[in-house]
Amino acid sequence: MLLISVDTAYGKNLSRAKKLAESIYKRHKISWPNVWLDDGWSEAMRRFNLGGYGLTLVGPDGIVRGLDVHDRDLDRLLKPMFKDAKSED
Amino acid sequence: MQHRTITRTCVAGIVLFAATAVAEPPASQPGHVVLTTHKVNKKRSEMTFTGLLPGSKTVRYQRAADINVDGEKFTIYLPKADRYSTKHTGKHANWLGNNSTRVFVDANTDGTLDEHEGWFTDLPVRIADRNYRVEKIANDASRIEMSLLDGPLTGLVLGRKVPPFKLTTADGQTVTPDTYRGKAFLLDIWSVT
Repeated sequence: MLLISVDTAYGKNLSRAKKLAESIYKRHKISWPNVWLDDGWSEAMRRFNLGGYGLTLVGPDGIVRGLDVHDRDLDRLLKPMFKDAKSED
Repeated sequence: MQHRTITRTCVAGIVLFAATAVAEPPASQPGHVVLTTHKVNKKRSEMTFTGLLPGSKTVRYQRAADINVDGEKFTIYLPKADRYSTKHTGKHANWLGNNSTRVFVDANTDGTLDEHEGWFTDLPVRIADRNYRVEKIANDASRIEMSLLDGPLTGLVLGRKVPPFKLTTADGQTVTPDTYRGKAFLLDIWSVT
């Protein structure tokens, strides 16, 4: 998991957002790396064509397997990847 | 009398030459494409999608154009609009705030469109594994002019390679797609604010 934060879109001072993020990591025991996008939504749009919150699933082959993925979709999307990995062994 | 006729003929000739010169299409540059659009099938002329905020947005399409990219054929859809803009002059860059024209590319060629197939024309539009700049959309939606862009690929497309990125995490580590080579991973766009 790679967290990509667009908090800069909501104000230049990130110190409050960073403090809040730290407390969220602690409370939910999150160890995933987080990137603070310098240019918020503009950068998310420019780099990824993403204009809203959500999860993107990328397969082991680097191919995008899901856009705006929800937890209920994950099993369905991940299964074929594990199947492929098994058959390669 | 003869002199007048010759003069008139010459003037007419110059005017005709000038008109021809103006009407001449610009010399084609490598990677520059001028696409002629066609009417969209009525069944496919409307799309409703929901976004982050409550409510849904319906986009109506009137014309579309086909483009060949590396041997694959894709269709680009133009929304129904009074005018088209390839510039974003609004405050916000997300899909609710960007006021440049949003074109849709049927990336998986299934004949339907979804929200993720939409691209704002102030930004590079990804088609297959290429990025294009939308140079111009004719006011009557009859033509789209686009240029192939050099440089690193941008934009996520389902079923296609994740575009290259090099990002620095809060703890100073550099992450690229290679960081996750051989592993599935999730990109999670979020904010705490």
